[in-house]
Amino acid sequence: MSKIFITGMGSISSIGDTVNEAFQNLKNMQHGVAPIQYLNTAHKDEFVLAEVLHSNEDLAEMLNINLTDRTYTRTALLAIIAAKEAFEDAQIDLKDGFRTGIISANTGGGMDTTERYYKTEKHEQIVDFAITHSCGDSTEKIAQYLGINGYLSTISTACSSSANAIMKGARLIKNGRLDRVIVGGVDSMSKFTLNGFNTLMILDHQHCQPWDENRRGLNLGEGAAYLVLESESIAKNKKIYGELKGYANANDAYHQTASSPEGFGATLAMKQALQSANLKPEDISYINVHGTGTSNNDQSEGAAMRNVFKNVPPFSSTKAYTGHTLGAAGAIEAVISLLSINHNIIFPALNIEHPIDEFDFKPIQTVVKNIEINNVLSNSFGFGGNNTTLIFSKY
Amino acid sequence: MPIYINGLSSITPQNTFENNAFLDQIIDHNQLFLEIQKPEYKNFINPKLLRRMSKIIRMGVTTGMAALKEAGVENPDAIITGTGLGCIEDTEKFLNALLENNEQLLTPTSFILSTHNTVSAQIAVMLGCNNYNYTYVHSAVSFENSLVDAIMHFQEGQMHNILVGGIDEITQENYDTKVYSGIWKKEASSILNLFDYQTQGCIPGESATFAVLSNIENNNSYGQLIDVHTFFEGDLSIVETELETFLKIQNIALKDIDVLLAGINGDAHYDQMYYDLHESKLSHTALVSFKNVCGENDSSSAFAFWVAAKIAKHQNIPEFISIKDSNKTSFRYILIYHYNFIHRNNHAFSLIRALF
Repeated sequence: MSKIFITGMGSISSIGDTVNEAFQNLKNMQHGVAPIQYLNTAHKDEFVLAEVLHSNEDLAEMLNINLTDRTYTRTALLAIIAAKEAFEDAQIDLKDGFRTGIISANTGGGMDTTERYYKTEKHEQIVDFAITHSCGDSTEKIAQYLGINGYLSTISTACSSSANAIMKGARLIKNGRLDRVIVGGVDSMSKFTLNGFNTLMILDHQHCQPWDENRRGLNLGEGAAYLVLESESIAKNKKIYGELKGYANANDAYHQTASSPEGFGATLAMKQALQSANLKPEDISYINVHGTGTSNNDQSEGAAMRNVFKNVPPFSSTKAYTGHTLGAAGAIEAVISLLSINHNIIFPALNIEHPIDEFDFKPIQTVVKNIEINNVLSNSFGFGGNNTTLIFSKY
Repeated sequence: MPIYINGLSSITPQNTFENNAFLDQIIDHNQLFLEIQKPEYKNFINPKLLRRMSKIIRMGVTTGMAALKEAGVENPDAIITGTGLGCIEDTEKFLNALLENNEQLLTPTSFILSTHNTVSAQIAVMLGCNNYNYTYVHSAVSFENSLVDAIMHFQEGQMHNILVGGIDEITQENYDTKVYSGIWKKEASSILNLFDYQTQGCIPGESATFAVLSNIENNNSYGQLIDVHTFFEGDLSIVETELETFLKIQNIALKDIDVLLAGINGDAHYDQMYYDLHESKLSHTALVSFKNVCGENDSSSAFAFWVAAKIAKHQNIPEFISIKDSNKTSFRYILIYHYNFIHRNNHAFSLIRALF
């Protein structure tokens, strides 16, 4: 079976409109969590968010899209921007005869638009939201913008969605169904999401502190990220960011929203991913943890890491930079993992005052350079006990 | 490497849940949208759990459990579901509450249950199944996304039994919202003359269908899943080319196809391409419908899969879904073709073979 190479990357989030902007901010420990600027919510002064600092009109202008037809949700706009960057970065020529597909992911679909128009008087001009609401809409918008007609798919498994999209894309190439696939995910901020997480009482009102003993919860973020995965035969003469060497999805089967205290599903996902990469735990140079900053996640993930690693490698959560971008998180963190590999750098955790007492391993807290990063393990865990681990390796 | 269909269960607006019958008695619906015939949920779900579950979760979990039971599988190697719109009822409940109360006094239950992967997650929790668990949400080809995933797992050689399903629900509110877009018929219409094309639009519905796929044949096997192919955007000539390429890869000729299960839904504008394809390439096949049973919904092709598997096993085509007879006496290769009803841009072929 073919190896899977990453030949293009794109991302937009609170820490930058491009991969390079994100890299500069991560390197300088600059985060994107701030008071609410764009989301029109009754909780405006109560929470901080990691918003993409552009209005929908700005985003549409970046793409030369005419917004007056109101068929582009914020979700679709973010998705197209990041997918376009990845597509151009990989210098894809769709006329080269290789079979190209898109596997995207999100949790909220077009909810940002739906909630704006839902209670307004309904008539034929205003029901575009009923059409753009579905999760597949943004995937189709990417396909139309880039001119891709092959296999399209959209995944929604809560916060592991885009990690699952990356894994599915790799398997489509390995199984000989596609030669090249754009994989990743997106989510835009909505009142629905903010209020939903608020009812669960897992939002931090201040800047979050993942992996701190006194962590209070997560900050929500928005954004999108995509990778271009190509088979060996296409990628061999191109710039290669790394290889997607291993992946696994397992289920905690414990509770609809909570993770098991011993991290059973997460342990399975990491072990199976190592097995599929044919790597040993000691081969991992760095772990980009899921690390949301909720009491439950960080404890459960830590327990799972203790189950898998005799000596836990350097690790950090980058969610204090980008917020928790839900359906985009796995893809944004895949880009961050590949930046670590390409620049031999570890981006540190922010806001750690007192590492979690239960564990004898601590997150990286200052920028680490001049270190060889060969294999990065990235975790993404979602509601429904959905646990996914990806392993990226140096080429 | 053959893939067998070893268990099936479907809840639709007709009595499809009792799997020994095959659409022999039809209930006339004369409504704006078609709602499912409710089975005895408590035979499959603990009543304590049942109370918290919305319609889609009930029908999804029940058909999932029933398909596993029929296949004699306790713990599948993967649970893969498809849903175009997910948990509409819980989404509406949370959305209305937050918009009506200015984002105050909200409770988490409907938010939690509005997550798209709720059904596959609930099945995993109920079974204690720690295996691969995915949910596809790509319009009307969500179920085909699930089938492709399952086929790849069998090719990868690690799995023996996979639970795949498609679930979508309809609510009054969802009907009311979309009726303005001109997709739905604006007046109640009988399903008995859906294909007379007297009014514009189609009739929405809902369905939950699960199947157990296996690499081992058993006494109950319905047929084989040969392969699935989906693509984005295309007129008739592209659809014809994609079909020929798809069949060629399987070494199957157009003339080998015995049945075309087509996604005709009663909207004259949207249905034309199905009739055109039948006439241009597949006029020798029996033309069979499925959306007059389950109504238009993003998981209707999962129900089509149920119909195809039943035709493969029982070797008959119920009158209610027979659009054009072919004078064939046996049905070996059954092709499902459909596209989504809004933009008509996601196309899917699935090929099922009888066991002879």
